[in-house]
Amino acid sequence: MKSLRALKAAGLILSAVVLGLMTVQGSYALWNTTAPSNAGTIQAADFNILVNGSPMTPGPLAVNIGDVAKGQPRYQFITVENAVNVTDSSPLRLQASLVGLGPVKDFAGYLTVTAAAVPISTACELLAANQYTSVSPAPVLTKGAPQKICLKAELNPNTPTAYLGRNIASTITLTVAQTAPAK
Amino acid sequence: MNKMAKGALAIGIGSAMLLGGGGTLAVWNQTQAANAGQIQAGDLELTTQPGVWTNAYGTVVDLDPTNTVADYKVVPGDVLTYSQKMNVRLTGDLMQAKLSIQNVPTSTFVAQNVTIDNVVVKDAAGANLQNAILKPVNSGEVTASAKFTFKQDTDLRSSVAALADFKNISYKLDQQALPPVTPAATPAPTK
Repeated sequence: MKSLRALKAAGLILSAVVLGLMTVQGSYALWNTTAPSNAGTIQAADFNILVNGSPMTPGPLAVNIGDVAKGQPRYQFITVENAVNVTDSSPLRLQASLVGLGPVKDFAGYLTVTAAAVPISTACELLAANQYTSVSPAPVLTKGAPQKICLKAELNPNTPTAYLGRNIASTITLTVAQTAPAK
Repeated sequence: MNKMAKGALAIGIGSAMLLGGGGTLAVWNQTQAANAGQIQAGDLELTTQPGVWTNAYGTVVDLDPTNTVADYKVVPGDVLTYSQKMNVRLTGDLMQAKLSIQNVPTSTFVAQNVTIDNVVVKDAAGANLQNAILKPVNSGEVTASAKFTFKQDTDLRSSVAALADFKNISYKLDQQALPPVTPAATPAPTK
């Protein structure tokens, strides 16, 4: 009886020793050292474009030209601003353009919309007629400097009465695209 | 004089005789220095210098959000390249260590918009040291590099304001255990 107890005690001690040895494997570690890279985080830009001071939204431009009388052009303008959060070192280059200039659909060429890119302080009404074209202007958008684009809607003096008195929804679309920078 | 006093007196006289005539008990002796030398520990150290990111034009850009400099924002078509000098010091006749890169960059970019080349470490000769066994002869300056390409064909507003995080990447140098001594590797005794 006494020897059985001694045997049990010896077994218990042996188990404890084995368990202890197994759990101290860390003590076999050799020298090691770690150095941080502190390489930072790459962030993509936000491509924030402001149209008339508000964030640009997809879809046709919301431009209210008003009532256009025959032979009396109406003017409206929009401002487009490159407000992308890049630093001066960035290669980002943006250009604005308009789609949908020229003859307005379903008006048989009597109603046209043309555009011109001008400095922000220029009055659209004071531009020479030949400065407005149906070919889209493509101004480069400098960061933080709003670009003004003038729109001119013109109804031909010979427009038949059948075309008068209509409401027209804007079909002009503004596109701002990143372009490859000049090297 | 009782017995106790006599005994104490005898012990005292004996001790005094031993102390006074100690030198006379000397026999021949000699001392030789062992000249066993000093055991000096080696070294294992890895130090990094600040890393530098450059953009597609080779301009150094800042990506550290903790400083006051405005953080650079990447746009499609841009390529950012990382370079970081490090110093490896391995000292010890039997020292050997393995260099590893800990962690990989994490990214919220749309996968097809970017190419991320994780950090590699090369020596001056251009040999890739990642997971290589380095010895003291490999001590010196090595260079870590990485590359991030924001593909030019990224369209619409894909990956706007996305993040690619390299900040948790670190370098680790681990001493390697010596291979067990085999009888063939044991030098033969000289005769």
